[in-house]
Amino acid sequence: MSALPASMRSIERLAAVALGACTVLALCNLPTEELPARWILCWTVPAAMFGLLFGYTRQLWQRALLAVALQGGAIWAALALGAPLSRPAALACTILPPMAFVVVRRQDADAALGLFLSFCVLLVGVILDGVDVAIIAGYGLAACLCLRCEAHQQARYATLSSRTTGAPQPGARALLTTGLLLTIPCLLAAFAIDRTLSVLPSPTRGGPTVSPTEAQSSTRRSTGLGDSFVLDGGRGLLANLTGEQLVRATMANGSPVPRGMYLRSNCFAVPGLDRWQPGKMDFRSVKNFELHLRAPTPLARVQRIELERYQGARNFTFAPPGTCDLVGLERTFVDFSREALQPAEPVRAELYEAAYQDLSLPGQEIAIDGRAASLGLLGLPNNLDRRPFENLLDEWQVGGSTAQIAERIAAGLGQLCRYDRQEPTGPFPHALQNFLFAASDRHGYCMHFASAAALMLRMRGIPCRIGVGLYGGDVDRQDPAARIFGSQHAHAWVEIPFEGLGFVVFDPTPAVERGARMQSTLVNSAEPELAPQHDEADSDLLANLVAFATEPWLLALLLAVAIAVRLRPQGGPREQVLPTPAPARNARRLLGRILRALDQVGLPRRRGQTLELFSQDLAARQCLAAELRDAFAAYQEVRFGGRPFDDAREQQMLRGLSAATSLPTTPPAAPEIGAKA
Amino acid sequence: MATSSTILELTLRGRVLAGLCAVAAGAAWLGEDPNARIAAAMLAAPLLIDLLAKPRRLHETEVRVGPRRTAAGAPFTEHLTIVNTGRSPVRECLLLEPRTMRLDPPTLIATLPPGVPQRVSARGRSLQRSHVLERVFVLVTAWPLGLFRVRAVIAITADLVTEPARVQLTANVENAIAEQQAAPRDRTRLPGPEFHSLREHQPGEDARAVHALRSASLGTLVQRVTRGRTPRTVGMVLDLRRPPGRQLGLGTRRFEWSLGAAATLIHLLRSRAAEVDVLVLDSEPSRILVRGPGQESDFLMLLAEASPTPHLPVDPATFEHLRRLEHCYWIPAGAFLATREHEAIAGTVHIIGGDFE
Repeated sequence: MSALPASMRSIERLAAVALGACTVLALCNLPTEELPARWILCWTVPAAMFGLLFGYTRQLWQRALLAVALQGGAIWAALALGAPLSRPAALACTILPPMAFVVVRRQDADAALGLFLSFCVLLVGVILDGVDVAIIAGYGLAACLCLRCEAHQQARYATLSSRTTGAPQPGARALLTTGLLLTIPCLLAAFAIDRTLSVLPSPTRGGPTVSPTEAQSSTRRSTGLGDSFVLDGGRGLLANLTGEQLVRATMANGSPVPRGMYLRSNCFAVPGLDRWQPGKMDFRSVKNFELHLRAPTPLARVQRIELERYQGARNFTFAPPGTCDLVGLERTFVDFSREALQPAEPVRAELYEAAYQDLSLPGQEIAIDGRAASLGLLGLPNNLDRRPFENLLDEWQVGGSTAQIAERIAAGLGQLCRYDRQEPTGPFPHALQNFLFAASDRHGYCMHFASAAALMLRMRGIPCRIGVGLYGGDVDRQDPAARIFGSQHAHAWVEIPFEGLGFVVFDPTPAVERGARMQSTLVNSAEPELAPQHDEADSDLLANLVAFATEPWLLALLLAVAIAVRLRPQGGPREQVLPTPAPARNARRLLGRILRALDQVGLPRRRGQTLELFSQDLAARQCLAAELRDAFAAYQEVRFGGRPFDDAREQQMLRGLSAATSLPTTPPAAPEIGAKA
Repeated sequence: MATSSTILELTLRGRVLAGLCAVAAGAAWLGEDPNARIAAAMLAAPLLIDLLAKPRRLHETEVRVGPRRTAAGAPFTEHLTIVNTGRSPVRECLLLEPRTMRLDPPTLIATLPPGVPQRVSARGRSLQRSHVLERVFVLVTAWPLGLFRVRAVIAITADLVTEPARVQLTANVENAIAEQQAAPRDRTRLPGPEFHSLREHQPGEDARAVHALRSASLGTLVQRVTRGRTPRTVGMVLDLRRPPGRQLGLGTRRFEWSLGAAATLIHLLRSRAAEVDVLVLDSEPSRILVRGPGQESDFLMLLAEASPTPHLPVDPATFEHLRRLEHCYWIPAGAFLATREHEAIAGTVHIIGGDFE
């Protein structure tokens, strides 16, 4: 290190800073709720210390001892200071120590490995907590800079001793500038690739090609926010929390949209301990501009809400529970008995209006809908051990009217389990069992609360299903009366069918937690091009331009053109210039034989005498036969003229040889000319 | 004839990144998982930018170099002129010539601006005796992110003569002629050794060799160093023939050493102002009278191009011109020890490297 020139040392430092920045940004992207800072420090600091001390230890046993001591300390500190081991934490403790170690040690290929591990950590953060554009952009900058420095260092190290020529080598400042300049196209390319991939026809994507008849007959088609309501692994609905805007809602009368607004996109009736499924749907294709779902009840007033679908909601139709009429939907699959909606084909941005009633659980005087049993809303999972569930219901003294039963269940669940966006953990094979019956730390999120409540309601004979969709939303900055719903507002609840009321929402998730724990990136990162613009024509034009510029097909086309231009055939190889042949060996040999023959007859070529001068000498002695002159010329053409030694020239030289051998042995004396001193 | 071309390839780091990108893109495509899509996009973006930023048609870069004559294994510094014929500058370019830079690091060219000739010095050594008419240079750049590498092979017309490596000859070989020959008449009439140089007198040495005048002028005893006279013309037979029935491909090390010995001997004799009458015995025996630098260069060129030849009997008349010489070196490079043919030479024949057969 000390032998390196100052410019290389500064570049080394820059590379180290860039890699460190990558690591820090990746760690910052991890959600602090699931991975507290002290937990992260427990796993990174000892490994970083080991990396720091690695250079001071020479023996293998010393390193092993040091590693064991530091890692043991890390484990102790993590167990003593951190929370119980969760899946993200387990993932963290496998990636974080090697990442911290290689980032600090920085030997050989450590930089590449460190960059890879930090990228893995960044992705873990994205999966757990969504995309933070600022952190992603910062990471892109640091990663570009790191790659740039590494590429430069490799080129410099390849020359050993930094021997270079030409212009002065770029210093750290130049590399920093290049890295900054490269970051912008890299981020744009990443955006374009992301958009392109999002529109690629995936074999697992359902949708527009399904005919209405298929839709009616098939029970396996995709409906709403996923086919399955998965309770373990994959994080179910929350896996899609990427902050993508879906719907903008405004009340028709201009009043603010209620804070606790539900927007349903799908419903699940077939229960399971790990997975709920939609069950059979009776979809019909409806082309009417106005859609009547059910008659309104006099118990609540009808409100009108305008819903604007964004591009991300192209496969969904959102409507509030209790919807009576829908106006503005062009072509939709509708299951009237289940109040389920599904767009017939993916739609672009679309504005439609729903007339709905905000219904709460009624008292005992309203009966359960008689069609509930035929809709399969009383079924229980196969092989379900009802005893522990019944024990809980008994313990909570669940009974009375439907509303009372629901309230008791919600209260019991609120006391028994805590809301957490982590999967339930415990000794049981099913997520729901871990959620309800784990010895300690029974936790889960809306899906688990809704599933448990639905099963318990059915055990008490109350038909119900699970509704999924959006809840809450964020206030639109442009219009405080409107709310914007994104995928981070995904929520699950229970719906109970009442006679004349339709499906009424019962939400067992603690009210404080409904959407409160979901970090909304909508307000901070609202994209102006997606937010509705109603004010000025200029902003509309700008928004349209931006929307056009971010069209996936356009970006895909640009990417394809760029790659095609780069990879297009570069034409034939460069025109070859045949090398001027060096004096062919055979020509030189023949010349040597001619000169020897002339030497034998007393005409030696003098020292330093060129062939031209020698021929003049021979001419002066009148010994230069025409064959000899041609032979010398042929040799000169081959030797200096770049001509090939072909048969014609060979014959010329052979004739010159025979002429030389036939010369008389005693030539007349002649004055010496042309000989060099 | 090599063809100039440009090859675009992934580096090791780029291959790993491309593999990860393919996996993530596949997952994003099949699973429609937005996280996988983000991962694929972030992995693919630097690959794409690096690909687009790479210089095109790097093989059209013009490399100019003069003819080079060197001994096998001897280091030299090559001065080249490189002109970037493209429209954009080429950065962080490594220049190497595989033939001569196998043991030496490549040269890093920081920036090659378009159209501006740039002088570049590169160290090299040609390890194999040869005479090539075309030199092949390789330009490699991984700028800017090091995920793709552009490798341009540039073939240019330039002479590279690699003479045989010089070898260490024993003192017997070097002095064989000097101690046995009398001084030529045109240089001195006195018999005995010739003056060579002066050196400091060591205690215990024969004081008769002290140079009185130089010792007096320098104030210290100075010894005269003498050596035997070199005859004016020395014969040399370079026999490239393999023994009868032997394969041509064998005995390479002996062959190369013998050519090196011939080159060394020529240089030695020329430094002593001797003329060398060389007879090269191969498929067609040829004679070269090495009198000056031009003939010496021709002879070394012949050595650079020499190769073993099948055995052919030689007419004794071929050695006619060597009969008048008092001393002759015989170098059986092809490992054929022609004892009978030695008798055709009247003078003393000193065989170099004849400890075989």
